[in-house]
Amino acid sequence: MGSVHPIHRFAVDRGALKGIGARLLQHERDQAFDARQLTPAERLFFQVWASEGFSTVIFREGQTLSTGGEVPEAAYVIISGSVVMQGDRESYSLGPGAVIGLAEGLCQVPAQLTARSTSLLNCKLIPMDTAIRTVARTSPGLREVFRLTIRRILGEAAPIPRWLAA
Amino acid sequence: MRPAACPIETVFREATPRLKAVQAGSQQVAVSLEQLIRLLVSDGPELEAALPRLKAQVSQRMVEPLQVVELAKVVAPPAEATPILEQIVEPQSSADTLWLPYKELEDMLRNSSTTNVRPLMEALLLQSLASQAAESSAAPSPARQAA
Repeated sequence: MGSVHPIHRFAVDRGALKGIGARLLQHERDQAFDARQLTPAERLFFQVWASEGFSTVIFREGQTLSTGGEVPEAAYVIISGSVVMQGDRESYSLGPGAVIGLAEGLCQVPAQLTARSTSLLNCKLIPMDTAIRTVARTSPGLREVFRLTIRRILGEAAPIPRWLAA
Repeated sequence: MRPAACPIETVFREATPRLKAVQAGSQQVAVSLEQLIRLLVSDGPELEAALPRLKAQVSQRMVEPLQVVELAKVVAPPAEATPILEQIVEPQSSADTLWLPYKELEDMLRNSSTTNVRPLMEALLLQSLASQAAESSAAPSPARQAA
């Protein structure tokens, strides 16, 4: 409490990714990942950061990304900067690599905490309507992986929507 | 009820090249592929009896969950595979473990014809890792508790 520099509950070390070009082909990226022995989180962060499928959005300090109790209309992946997640009983900070609201948005359940930027924030934007349409069209095998991953995030009792069920 | 359409030889022949490819980029697997396939195509009682052992192997990372996913997809239609997966692939407790090996998922995503599904899957996996790490950091360590 009262700390000037909040301790992030989750943040990827962007320094580990320096020098890997976003224009590399996937197999070249994989080679770079292996050569640097990147962690799964670092690899995934790079993939999302380098993706051309998401647009970038900037928030000034103090802006609200999503509100607790409301179903997120968009999810965000923090590229740089930090966010504080606030609820009635808890509050914590997230940094680069944290993903806000994707599982909740896919399941159309309310976010538990309010997300607010605590610095200038650079994020990847994932509109939920587009995400739902995309996942709904994919193969049953991949939908299964989505479903299992959502359950790992939201818990076994997560209400899996009909379009995502087997 | 499990489908009886797939003779074990056919299943094994179809599954082996894919699983060998999966294995090549993965950790050493202690359980034989044939053993797994036989378990998955076997009828109820045998599968029921084998599930606890298979679950233990998954949790100890002797066999990767995705190999079970791949096997289940080969031997059974999705609706049939799902209950098997739900019984076998359980959340793992280790906060730094990515439950799907990245290279194997890579193959599934590469074969997907749906545009833009890949970054969505990657973002969701990242949220999974982040939520595990956040939960882990929220839990007081033994040292902190002792203090």
